[in-house]
Amino acid sequence: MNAKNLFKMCVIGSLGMATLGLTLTFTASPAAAHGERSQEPFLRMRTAQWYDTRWNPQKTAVNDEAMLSGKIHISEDWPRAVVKPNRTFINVGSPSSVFTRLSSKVNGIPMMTSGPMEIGGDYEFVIKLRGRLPGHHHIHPMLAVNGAGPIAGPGGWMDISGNYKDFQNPVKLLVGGTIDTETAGLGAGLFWHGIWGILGFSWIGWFMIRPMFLIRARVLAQEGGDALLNDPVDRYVAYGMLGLVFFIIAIGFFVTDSQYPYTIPLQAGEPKIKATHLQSDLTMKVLNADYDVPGRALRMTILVTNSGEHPLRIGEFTTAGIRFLNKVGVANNMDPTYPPEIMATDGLNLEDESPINPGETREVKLDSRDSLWEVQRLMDLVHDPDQRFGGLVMSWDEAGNRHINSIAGNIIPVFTRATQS
Amino acid sequence: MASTTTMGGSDPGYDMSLWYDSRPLKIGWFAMLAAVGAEVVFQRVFGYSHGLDSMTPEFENVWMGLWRFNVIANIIFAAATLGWIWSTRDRNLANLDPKKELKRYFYWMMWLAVYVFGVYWAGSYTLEQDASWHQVIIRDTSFTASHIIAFYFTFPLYITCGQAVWLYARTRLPQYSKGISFPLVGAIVGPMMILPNVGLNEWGHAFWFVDELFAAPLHWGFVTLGWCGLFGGTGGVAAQIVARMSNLCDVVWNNESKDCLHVIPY
Amino acid sequence: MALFRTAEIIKASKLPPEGVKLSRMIDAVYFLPIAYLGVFATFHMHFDLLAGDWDFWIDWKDRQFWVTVTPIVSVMYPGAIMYYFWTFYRQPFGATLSLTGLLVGKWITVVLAWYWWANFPMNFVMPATMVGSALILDCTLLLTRSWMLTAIFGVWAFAMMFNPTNYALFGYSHQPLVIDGQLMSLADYMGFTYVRTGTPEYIRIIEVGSLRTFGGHTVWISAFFSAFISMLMFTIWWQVGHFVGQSFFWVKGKRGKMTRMNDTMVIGSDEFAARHGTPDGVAPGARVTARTAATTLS
Repeated sequence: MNAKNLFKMCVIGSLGMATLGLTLTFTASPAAAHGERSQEPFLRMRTAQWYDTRWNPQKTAVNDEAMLSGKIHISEDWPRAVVKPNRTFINVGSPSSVFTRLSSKVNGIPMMTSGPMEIGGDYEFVIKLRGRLPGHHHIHPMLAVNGAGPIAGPGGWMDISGNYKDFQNPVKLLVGGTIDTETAGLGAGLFWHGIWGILGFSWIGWFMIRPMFLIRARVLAQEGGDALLNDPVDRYVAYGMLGLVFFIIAIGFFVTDSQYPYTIPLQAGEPKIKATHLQSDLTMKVLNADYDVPGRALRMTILVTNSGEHPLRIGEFTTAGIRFLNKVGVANNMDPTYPPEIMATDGLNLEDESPINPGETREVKLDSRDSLWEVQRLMDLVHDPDQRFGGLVMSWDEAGNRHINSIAGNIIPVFTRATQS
Repeated sequence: MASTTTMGGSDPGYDMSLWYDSRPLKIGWFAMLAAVGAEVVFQRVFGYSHGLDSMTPEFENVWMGLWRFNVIANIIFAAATLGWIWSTRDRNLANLDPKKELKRYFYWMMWLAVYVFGVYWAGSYTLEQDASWHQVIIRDTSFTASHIIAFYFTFPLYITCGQAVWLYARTRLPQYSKGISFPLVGAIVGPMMILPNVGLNEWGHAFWFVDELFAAPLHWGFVTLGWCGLFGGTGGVAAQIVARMSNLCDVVWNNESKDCLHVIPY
Repeated sequence: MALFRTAEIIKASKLPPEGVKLSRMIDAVYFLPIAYLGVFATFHMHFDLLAGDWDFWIDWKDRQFWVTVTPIVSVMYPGAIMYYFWTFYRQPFGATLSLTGLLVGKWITVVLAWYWWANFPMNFVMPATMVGSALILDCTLLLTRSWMLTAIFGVWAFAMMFNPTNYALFGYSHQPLVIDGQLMSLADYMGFTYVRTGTPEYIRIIEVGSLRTFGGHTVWISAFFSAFISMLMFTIWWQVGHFVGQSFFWVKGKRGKMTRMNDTMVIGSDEFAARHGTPDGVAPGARVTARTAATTLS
């Protein structure tokens, strides 16, 4: 076989692979999300409870700013299997750095590094982003917990238009001047890697131009061979190389040192962020809950007491970033930009829809029913080693004031319709 | 390409083709470059469009489709390669001509080179690429778009090449036909065990190590098994090759007796 | 003997031109495709899984761990590779081979994976270099011809030169800036601004606060400690080189017992020397006799 045939084989091989690829293209449409659905339901329902998440605006251009904001409640019923949130970081889950992150504030405090969060606490985050890579991207807020990993919040779509080539991420230096993080230091880095590469390859090349292995092994095996192989010219080259290397290192170091007289080490402090807490006139206790597998519904009975001064109506149950609303919830808390694929606007049913009056204690039967339980793989709860659920129940008074309760409790699966009560 | 002439076109007075032929190296090397290159291009084309969420039917079609292709292609490649080497084995090794044996050592080194190229794709390129892709996705499966090519294409590919190296030596090189070379066992079996070590990796990632920390002790199994590669190109195997070829040269050109070829009996 | 000994060395190998040509073809097939690629395939894996994170990210390049870990992890392979090339061929390029190999392997991935696939800017994931340190190590071995002196002086310089070499590449990233009223280095900011889904900030293993660093010479203290461990590591890995360099066969005897046997090169035997001469023309055994006589006289 000659080079031509070889080339032919490569081409045929590549075409084969390409054909395989094309076949697959025609049988599939682009993917919709970002992998969060594989996370276990107990992890998503009982760690960070996300609400009021906003992707604003949903359409931006390269270099334009956008905001990812919302709130999280750190569940009181934090699972045993998950490391406690002693070191956490509010992150962005995006398919690579499609946005750069310009600032991140949690309860008004900058969160550049990781810090502790309080179980039962609430945190409002505002993340400022700048459009970097054009496309239709699925963006999540994420709570990363050291030892427990990333816990993805609800995902929404954000579009970036324009051209990546136009992207710039300028940042002002404390000592004056502006630097673009996309390219800073790249030229110098390439230059130095080039210099060292040339020197390194020259050194190896110097030995490659002469017989390398069999000849030298044969000479070395013989008496007097070792001395013969100790070629004086190699020693001169080595002295020269040694001097040159130390010289170049010194030049590089001192020039850089004088170029940047004001430097600081990496910063590894810890933001101490004070939590806020949910406000509600209601107290709630889960009496029992079951999960109707074929009917795709979570049914619970909660003992609710209104200790406030106004009648309150339950309007929303939200868990794992998925929202189940009834008319009250839609009227009071309908964000038209919230991704419809993780919101059931008619997904919450109450047996008794009358308001809970001040001083009243009532057993409320609450039923959140939607195919989202299956699509978002929360029905997988039955496969978890920790059969409990959690979430936020939201209620409103006549004036539109919101009251939020965090609930959690045991859950019993109901596998077949026949066994339903 | 076998050549009997030097660059200047003058006749050097010997026929190189009696002991050298570079064709297998070129075929093997470029075939592997094309195969892995095509899979890398596949990643670029379908990574973002279909590879972000393992729960979607698109992922099942495109990426698990590629996974099935990789597994089947590797089984076919292994069966064909190893079957061919075994069925065409030399049954008269005791009377092998020294020049022909020199040529076989070159062929064997070419198998080693292709094996090493496979180890490069697995241990160097796709390994670090893994770190980059896992910054893009929320890791939601053991079969990520990066793993499908690293673990299920390049790993079995180099393992087959390693076994081919072993089998070629066993069936065609006298010294390896009866004796078991200690460094060769290390050079083939060590890196081979990297694939089973994926089990440890996925077990650890499923239950404990949820973030992508490359230097985590969970990954050190890969490292120690990778060290076994030192037995090959820069260790005992290379030393065995040089010693044997040196003796063959002495028999061919220095009229040394063939006794020096039988230190290791065969 | 002459300054350039290549012709004498070739002559001493006692091969005809055809044999010399064969040796060059071995060099061609063996050196780059097998030895070099083999080293950089497995060294890259070794390096990534022991010190990779510090090398991947600009906001991991701290004064405590980056400076300590990188030389220790980097000196391991050179130890074994230098043993092999030096012991078998007296070739002094084991360290440079390892570190330039790593450089090529890293850059292929930086461009094809980090930049092209994962869309990170190259400056954010630029690797550090230890090629300068490797050259020092190789030159020390060539000039001292002693692995012990190489371990003491060469490896010490190998580790100590890591920070000054790389300061030229990464010094700029320590310039201060202020974001939301908070002081950060440019490197911290880059780690913050480029979103990494799989590597949240707390994963960084960096200096979290110099407690008592004796006048603030943090980086030099780290380098000094790193040099010490690197010396030990080099000697251990020189022995690893010895271990993987064993070339025996297990051979089954007549009664089924397995014994270890080493092949030998006939060119190294006295009989061969008696038939073909030694490189310097001294008869085999004569040198030993002469040396013994000299010792006795003195």
